[in-house]
Amino acid sequence: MMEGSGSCSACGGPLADGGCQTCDRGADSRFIHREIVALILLGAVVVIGFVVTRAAARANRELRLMDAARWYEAGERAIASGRTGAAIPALRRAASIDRDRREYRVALAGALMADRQDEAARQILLGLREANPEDPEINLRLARLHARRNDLAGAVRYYQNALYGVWTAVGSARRQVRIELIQYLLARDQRSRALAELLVLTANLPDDVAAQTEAGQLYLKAGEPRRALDHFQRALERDPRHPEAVTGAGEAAFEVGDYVRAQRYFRSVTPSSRVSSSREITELVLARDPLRPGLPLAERYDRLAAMVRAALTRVDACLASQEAAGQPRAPDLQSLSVEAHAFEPTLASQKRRRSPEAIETGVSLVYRLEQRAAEGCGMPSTLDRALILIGRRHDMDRQ
Amino acid sequence: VSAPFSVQQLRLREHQVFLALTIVVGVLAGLSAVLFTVAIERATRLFFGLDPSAVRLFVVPVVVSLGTGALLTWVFPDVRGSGVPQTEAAYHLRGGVVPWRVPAGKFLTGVLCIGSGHSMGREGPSVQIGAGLASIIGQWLPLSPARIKDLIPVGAAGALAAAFNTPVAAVLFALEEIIGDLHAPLLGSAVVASVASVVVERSILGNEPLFRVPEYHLQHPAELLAYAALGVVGGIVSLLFCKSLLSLRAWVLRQPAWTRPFQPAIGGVVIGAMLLAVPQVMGVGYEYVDQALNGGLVLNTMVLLCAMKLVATTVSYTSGNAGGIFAPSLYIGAMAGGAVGTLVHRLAPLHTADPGAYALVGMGTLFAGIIRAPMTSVFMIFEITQDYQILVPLMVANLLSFLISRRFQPTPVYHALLHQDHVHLPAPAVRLAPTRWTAADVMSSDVTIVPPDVSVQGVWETFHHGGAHGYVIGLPDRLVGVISADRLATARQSGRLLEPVGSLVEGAAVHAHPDHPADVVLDRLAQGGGILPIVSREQAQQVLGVVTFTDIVRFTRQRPRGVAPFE
Repeated sequence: MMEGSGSCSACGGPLADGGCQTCDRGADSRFIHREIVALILLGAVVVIGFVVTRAAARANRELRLMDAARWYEAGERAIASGRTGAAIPALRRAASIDRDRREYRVALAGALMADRQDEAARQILLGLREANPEDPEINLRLARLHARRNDLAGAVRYYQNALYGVWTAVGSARRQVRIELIQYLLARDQRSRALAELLVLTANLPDDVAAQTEAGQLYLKAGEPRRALDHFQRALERDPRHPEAVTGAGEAAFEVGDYVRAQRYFRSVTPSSRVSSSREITELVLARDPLRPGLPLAERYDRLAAMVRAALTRVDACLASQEAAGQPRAPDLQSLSVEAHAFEPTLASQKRRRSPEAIETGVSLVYRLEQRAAEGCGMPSTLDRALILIGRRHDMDRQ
Repeated sequence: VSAPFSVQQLRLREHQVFLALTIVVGVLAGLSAVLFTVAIERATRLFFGLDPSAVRLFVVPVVVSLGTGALLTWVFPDVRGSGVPQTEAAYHLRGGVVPWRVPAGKFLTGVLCIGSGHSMGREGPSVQIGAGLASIIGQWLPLSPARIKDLIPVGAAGALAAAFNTPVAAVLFALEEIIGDLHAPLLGSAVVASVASVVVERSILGNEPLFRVPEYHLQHPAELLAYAALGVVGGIVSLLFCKSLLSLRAWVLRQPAWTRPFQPAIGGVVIGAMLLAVPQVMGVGYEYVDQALNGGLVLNTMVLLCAMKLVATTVSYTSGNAGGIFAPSLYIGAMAGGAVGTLVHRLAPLHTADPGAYALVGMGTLFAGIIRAPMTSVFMIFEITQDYQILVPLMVANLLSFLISRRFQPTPVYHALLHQDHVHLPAPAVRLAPTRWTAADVMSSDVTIVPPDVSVQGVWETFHHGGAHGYVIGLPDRLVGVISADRLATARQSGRLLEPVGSLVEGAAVHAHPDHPADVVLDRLAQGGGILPIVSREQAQQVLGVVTFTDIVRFTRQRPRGVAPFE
């Protein structure tokens, strides 16, 4: 490349400091160019690689999503045909392939709950809840799950979370959750908490027959027949022939002790097994009550005499059964029986003297007889129950 | 540019090019890992369909393994197994040079093996592919040999970051496992590659974690005892896995050479039969790990899957298929952890976390016990959960598992696998310790290797006049052992004249490698009875020379004055 004479043999350029500057520049330039070209080529490879990989990944993802949808459909079909065991692996596959799809995981949790795999379902639901703590549906499912596990605190917490979650279907869905919570609390004997929820429920209740009837039924279950009767009557103002409302009103009136109203309601609906007992007792109370307003005194005595006879029959049978069983006779029942046997013959003379005090005394005696007999000899008959209610009504009136 | 480059300028330029290359390598390694994952999923779908029949479950692994067996024997013989040990060997012993056939072959055979249902992981192959691509780029440019070597852990970190979506753990894995030194100066490059790789991976697949894990809480300080118990269980299971893997592989390697093309298919028969009973052990199996993490599996299922995955992975790996043990170790760990967690939760439901938390810690525990990269395992689980609270239980369990595994299996599994292939990696102390002389400096290359079938009498008559302290027995490419001159004389006096000299060799041959420092050489020379064979690290049965006390004395005399030989 170089010559000692002063010119470069390769390029013909001048030599300086023992080297050709032209050649050196060319070598440097080639070196730099080679690096740049190499990096550009590698950059092109990176770009092409990225495009190819992204296309492949996208196609693969679409295929996997389709697979997930197929597994989900298979799972749903299995659930529809009652094969929960077969649905679970299918839904599990769907949920594991497409982990973002909430409905797959919800369906899987539902299938697991149906298959009594509560812990596995709970874990899935907790995972979903972690992503969206205010999801009312997830909280509701968790509440049901905890309710099934007899975890009162957990169930109530999740029910409350569901109630205060973000509902897309405003109103009715939230109300249904509250109703479910009330029913759960009543089933777990949490009457005061149930009543608190009932008050919230009825504060925002729409004025329609179904809602008022449902509220009435809940109050009835909660042991608040007066409030129940109010809601049934509101329902009947809109639809006087609504069978559920009429029946509920009859039951509520019966519980309140307003047998006249109860009889009116019961008579206006088709007899059903649910209310047949209440209805029969109502009829008996009204037919046998000697203190019913408007009755002539003679009729009152006749009714009282029938009551005393029925009560004595019940007490005598009770004492006899105790004796037959080798049990000692209850002394108070024995003394009440003696008192009643002594009282019965006096009724005729009292009737002739037209003494009203004897009727109240008699009703009270019958009430005590029936109460003690029920305590000592178990469930009374329909007539005996009617007699107790007459006595209780009499006691209540006195109070 | 007006003046020629000085050495300093060239170094600066190379440094700049290397920095640019680090990014390119990270991106390409990430792309290769993503493509590898996608290809495995497509292959699985292609081979098995959506809902495979029993016949298909059994036939696919067998038929595909017949094809991969041929490929792995005649076309790509260097790509069996995980890829991590081979990457370590390429880094420490081959100057980072990886032939192009390695990443190409690993990609193809890895997709076929894992896609056909073999119970193996994709991370190890991804590491080998990423490191291989990095090496090929370095060779193509070309970079200096040192820079080519440096690209290996860079590519490995990039690939693992994308394969597992854990960039920090990937960097630690490259330093802890591939380089074997957490203080390596390549930390910065590995970080750059890992970040570049994860950015690319997330831009393609989205920012989706590999596993969705529930929120973690340490319920009570006493719960750490339960995690300690999990660490013990993890250590025992790790040990069981390593011992099974190494024992069965040693047996397979002893089989005749003609069986090698068929070994993967034999493994395929076993795997096919297992898939009929337990299809959950198919392939990578992260779907079931996810279920264990989220409490979707019951105790019996987890115990069964833990045992079956261990067996399936042992069979798939030892039968010579291409695939790793990274994912199976996580799978087994998740099942073992979930099972322990379920039992603990039943005993003390109020004071212990859900079984999913134990499954998560179990993953790290098995990883620490099997792979023996404790820092990587801690950070990997931490990256998955992104929860500081898990660190303490994780460290407790990992440490116990690591200690138990190390106590009863002193050689880490990747190194033990290389040992079985007669590749001896330098120990960390050898790599890092400064030394004035090594075995290569003092050894004598003029070695007389006595064939093992020569009779005692023959050896005595030929060599005893030379006054040697001992003799190297074997063939040039197969070291059998060393016998001392005293032992030869004793054998002769006891009348064993016609016996082959190979029968006098007892136990494994004490040897050293050319890079072993003075203290190691002297120690082993004393053990070896005065003669120490020096063998290649890449082929530990190939004798390169011997060292005797005479060689050391001669070397010492030749050294310049003032330099102490044994410091």
